[in-house]
Amino acid sequence: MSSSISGSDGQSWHRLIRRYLLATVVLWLVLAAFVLAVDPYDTGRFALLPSRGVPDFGQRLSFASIGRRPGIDAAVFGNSTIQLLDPERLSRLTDDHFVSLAVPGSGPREQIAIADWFRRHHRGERLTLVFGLDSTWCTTETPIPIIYPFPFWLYSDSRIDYALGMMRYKSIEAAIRKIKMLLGRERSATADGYHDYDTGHAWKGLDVEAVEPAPERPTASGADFTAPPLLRKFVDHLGPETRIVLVEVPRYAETLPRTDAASQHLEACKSAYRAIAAARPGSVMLDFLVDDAMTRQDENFWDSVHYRSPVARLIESRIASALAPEPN
Amino acid sequence: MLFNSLPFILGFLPLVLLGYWFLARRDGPRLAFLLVASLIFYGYWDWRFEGLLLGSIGVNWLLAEAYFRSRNGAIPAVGIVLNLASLAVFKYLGFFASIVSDVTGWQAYLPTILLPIGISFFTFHNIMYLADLRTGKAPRYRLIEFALYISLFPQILAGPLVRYYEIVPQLRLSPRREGWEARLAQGIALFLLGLGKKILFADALASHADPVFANAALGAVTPGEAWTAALAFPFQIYFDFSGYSDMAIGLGLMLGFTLPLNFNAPYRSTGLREFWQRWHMTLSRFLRDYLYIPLGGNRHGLGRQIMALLLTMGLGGLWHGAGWGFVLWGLLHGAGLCAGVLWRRFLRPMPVALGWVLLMLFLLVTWVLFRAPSLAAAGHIYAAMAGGVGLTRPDALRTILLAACVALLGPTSQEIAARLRPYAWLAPAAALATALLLFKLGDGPAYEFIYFRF
Repeated sequence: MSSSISGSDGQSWHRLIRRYLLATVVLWLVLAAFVLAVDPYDTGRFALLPSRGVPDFGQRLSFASIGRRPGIDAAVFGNSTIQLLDPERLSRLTDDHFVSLAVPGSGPREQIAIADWFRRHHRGERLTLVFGLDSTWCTTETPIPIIYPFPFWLYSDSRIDYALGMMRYKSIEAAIRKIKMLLGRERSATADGYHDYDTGHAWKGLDVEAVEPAPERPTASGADFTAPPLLRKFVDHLGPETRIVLVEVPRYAETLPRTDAASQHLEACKSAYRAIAAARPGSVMLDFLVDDAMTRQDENFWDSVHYRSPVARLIESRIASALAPEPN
Repeated sequence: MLFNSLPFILGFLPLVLLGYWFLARRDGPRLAFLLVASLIFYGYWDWRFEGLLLGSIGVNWLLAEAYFRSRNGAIPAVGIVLNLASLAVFKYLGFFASIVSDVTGWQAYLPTILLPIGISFFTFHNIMYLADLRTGKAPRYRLIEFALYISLFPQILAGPLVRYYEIVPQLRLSPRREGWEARLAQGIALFLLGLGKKILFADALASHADPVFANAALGAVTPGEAWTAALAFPFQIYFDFSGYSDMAIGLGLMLGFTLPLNFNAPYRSTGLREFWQRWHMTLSRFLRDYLYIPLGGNRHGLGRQIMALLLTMGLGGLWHGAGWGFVLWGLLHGAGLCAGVLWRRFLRPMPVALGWVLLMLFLLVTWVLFRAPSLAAAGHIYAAMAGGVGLTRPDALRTILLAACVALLGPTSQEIAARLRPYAWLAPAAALATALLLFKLGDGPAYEFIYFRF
């Protein structure tokens, strides 16, 4: 290849390289300004376009918009094991205005990041925060595992983290979709974040053979769990009037711990969260992770951890009761 | 540090180019700067391996010095054995132990040994130099020249496998010598083309092939999945490795060096011999010059040639990885080359079109062995392919067809770079491509280059 290179047109090459470098910087800045100004995820940062929601980017990317909506003061956080709780019903049963910010496949770190985003955008309000606690909240691993990639930069308190996180091709695609949505050529995401995986889907029976028993666990003390300190730290930032409801989500009874060590492990984990709820006035922990008639019934479950609508309705009503003002 | 990562493109590369060009007219500081940069580049991956690299450079250079002082031919031979031993320990110990265990039932305790990245490549660089030292072909180099031959950052991790005489004399040349502007422009173009091949083709194909091979390791896969993976992987590995090679050659040009060509449209070949003349060309010539010819080549009768081909390709397969799949892949390629030798000797020339079709079928089957995590996983893929034909998703077909068209019909990166002229429209077009590729890199964790594992 070097044989084709001659110095005769060195000046032209020199000019071309200079122009290329300059044009690269300019185009990169234009693209950066474009994605920030369009603010496709409706975060309110650097935005020049009006805030009118977002296209359906999926829960991980849509909840920045829903979480900062004015007029709401309550939210459900968790993963698919709590997403069947209907915010509209919860709002009807309580005095609060709920949205669902449950992200399937997420764990404590992702959920607290979204909850903190919600808190920062509703400062000074009396909030109600419902957390669905599943097995990921009883991890003893450090750092707490993240199963699926999560855009922490989107929910970050730092505008620099956010701006750097936006420098990706998916942001350009998202910005184009957002413009289409503003022009009426694409539908926006649901306003309350609710995704119902049960209604309208034919239940074909719980595959009992596929249900795996609870894994063996060593005995543990509250200090072994790595998620409670994270939740405690978050709760410490909440206003005094904000209430939290911790829901130990139900599992199919056959998957509950059978050995003494595993049972003790689970109880120690529950105790850690019970203590967090007990330390806060108006807050409560509701424990559905028990062996009872409801968790023993096959018809109540799609699989070992995903319950069906009747269970969701029961949990909603128990949450509403817990939040109801005590009679004078 | 990956070539296809933002820290490399926006941090390391501009800083190194600025420093290197700033020191253009001062040989000593310039080479010292390049060596330090190369060591940082290598250590960025895992600083613990820096000692191994420095030790390898030091020991091999001292052996060469000892040879020049004594002219004792045993010294380079000892060096070659030491290099092979180090490769055996770091790369093959577990594999050899599993063979011993399978044969004798004896379970040896082995500590977990991490594979130092690039060890297969820098070991071969050392061996090339020592082997030529033994035959009196290699000259004496200063420590810094030898250290840069082994550690030069564009080529240390996955080649091209450069001969010392191809690179060391260029180290002494100023990057600002005549023609630097065109070299720099061609270097940028090759780097961009390689980056585009990696991001737009190799990574897109990986998203179709990788999950299937992972599932095949766990059990059966469907015919659609198996065909998708088997058709996607040949193009994935081509765009991945040739893209990496383009980027390495482009980086070399930016520094003022010309590195050897490594790929030349291999899927246009009409026979297996031609394929190896176009695929990983620097490995092919290494295997030819340092294994095949010393084993007898084609000068000692047909039987010896067949033995040399099988052994060369079997060992070439083993070089790619410690596993029976790689050995079998190499042996099958050896057998294919032997079949070609016999055909040419005893039969009429094969029609070109038939040769191409047979080659593609051969590659389709053998790449599965190369890629599958185990022989059992390869068996699952083959069984599923035998059970029916199909593809998993329409977008997989689109991606594979587009990749095939580019690989078979499109000009090679080298041809594009060689034809470059300083047209004014090139600046905005390349700038747009660069800006978009930079945004594309932000999408997620970059896929590692396949040849980093070898």
